[in-house]
Amino acid sequence: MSERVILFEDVSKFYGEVLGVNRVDLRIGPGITALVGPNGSGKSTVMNLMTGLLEPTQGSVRVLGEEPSRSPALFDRIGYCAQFDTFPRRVTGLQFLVGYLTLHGMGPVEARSRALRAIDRVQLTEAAGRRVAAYSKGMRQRIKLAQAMAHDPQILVLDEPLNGLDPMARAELIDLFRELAAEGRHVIVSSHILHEVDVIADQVVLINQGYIVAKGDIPEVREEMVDHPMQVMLRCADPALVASTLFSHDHVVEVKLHEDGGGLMVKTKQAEHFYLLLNELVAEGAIDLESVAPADDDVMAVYRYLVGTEGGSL
Amino acid sequence: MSSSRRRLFGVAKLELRRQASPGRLLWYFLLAAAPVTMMAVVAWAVSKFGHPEGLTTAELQENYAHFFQGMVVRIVLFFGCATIFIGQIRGELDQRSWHYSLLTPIPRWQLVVGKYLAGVFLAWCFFLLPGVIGRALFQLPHGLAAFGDPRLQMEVLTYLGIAALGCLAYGGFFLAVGTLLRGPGYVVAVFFLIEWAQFMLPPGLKQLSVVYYLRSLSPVPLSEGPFAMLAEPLPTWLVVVQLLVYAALGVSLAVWKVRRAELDYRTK
Repeated sequence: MSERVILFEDVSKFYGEVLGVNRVDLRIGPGITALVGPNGSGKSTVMNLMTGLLEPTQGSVRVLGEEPSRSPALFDRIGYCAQFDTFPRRVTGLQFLVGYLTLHGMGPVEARSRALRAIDRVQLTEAAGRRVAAYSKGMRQRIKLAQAMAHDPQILVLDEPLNGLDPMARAELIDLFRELAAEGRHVIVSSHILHEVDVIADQVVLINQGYIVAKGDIPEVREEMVDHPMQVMLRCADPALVASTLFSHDHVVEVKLHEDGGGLMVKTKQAEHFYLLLNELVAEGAIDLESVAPADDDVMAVYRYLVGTEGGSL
Repeated sequence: MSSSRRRLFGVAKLELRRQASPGRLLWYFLLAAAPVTMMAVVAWAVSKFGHPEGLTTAELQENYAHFFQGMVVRIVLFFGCATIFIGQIRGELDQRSWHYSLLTPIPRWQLVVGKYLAGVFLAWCFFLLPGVIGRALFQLPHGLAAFGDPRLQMEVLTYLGIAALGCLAYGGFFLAVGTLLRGPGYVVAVFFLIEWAQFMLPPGLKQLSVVYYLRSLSPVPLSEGPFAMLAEPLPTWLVVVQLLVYAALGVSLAVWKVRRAELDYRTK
């Protein structure tokens, strides 16, 4: 099983006396995994450890069963789109990809065909013959992505891949990440933009100041946060009556009436029980509900509770 | 072509493309053209005004040998190779493009060796011939018939060999310097002084100097002046071996550094 995962065991990385990441335990399988945290939190360090560009000060990193810093052959199975917006000088998009594909041992014909396929996948075909230096920021992001996936790797490590892209391009790339994940690949994406992550990730790893503060899928992580009761927004016909009915149950810890008088905000320690209770009350005709919506089970709320930073762009 | 050889070839090709900026190529060309131009001027002057009285063929050979050691070796090969090889890995770190190479399935030692071979190829393309062309131009006013003489042919071939070995040895040295040091400028300056003053160094220290070996290969015995500290002359085969070891040592140091290096552009 360890052959299929990325495994961090008690990994710490220090740059001299400066902490990169500390005591990281991670197990990442296929699908989209998002590393989320503010700038400088350690996301890139985790990615660089994963790709062998850094070695852990302590602990071990294994990628598909191998140590990345000691297994050059592993790079046939890893593609890394690093955060650096830099390229070799004077190359066109196509030359950039073909050049590095030859280092994967491909002949010129195969390298060119793979490069064109990857360029097509990121929709840069028309610009393939132009110099990368003349590309826009968004185009440079896409050509880096094409370079990372041109050799058809099992694992794609993408450091802030959506930076600098317009909304349309973002949507296209998110679809592409989903396609790649659906093909059974590991797609690891870092981001400091929470709503973006919420949309794309199967699981998230929240990092702050070098520590993993939470990992898993968001609802799971949210449920484990017993210190922060789940908030549910109800729109209903008689909010005062509904509030008194709900308050008689132990797991409901707070109810606030809406200013417009058309609903309430309920805090509950056991979301599952709460939803069952609502079902029963509606079935009995005790309350008249228009809508029910969780108010804080997204990655932004989770991050706000764990890290103390407001959601949105961190 | 085997996959491994294709990878090595790929590294070399990428390096050549990286080095082929118009500014760099112009610099290499100007360096290579300098001794040729100087000898062309000398040839023109001798043809026009006549050569100094009493110069024998042996003296002509010695004069050119001094020119070759001073201009071609200490200026052209030295600065040409410094520009090519110091920037091979240091340049990629400065441009922040080194990670693209490190993230390929090619062992790091092959990356270094591939770059070194590309550098040697480039250095040979530019710097092998100026010494030979210069010798031909130097001979021109005295008649090209002399090139029928096997001794002169051997002399020309020797200059070709010295330039080739010089590129290998300087290449190894500067590759190591560029890989190991963040600011290699001062080392280049000190090494340049050593190259010019090697004749005054004690025999043990002379071995640091590439010029020391290349002088030993000179087709004409060269006087080192009254202040020279003389060392035991070495057989040609040993000098060649020592130059190859010198080059290999430089490449090995670069490989050692690259193999254990982590990528951190903040510290380069």
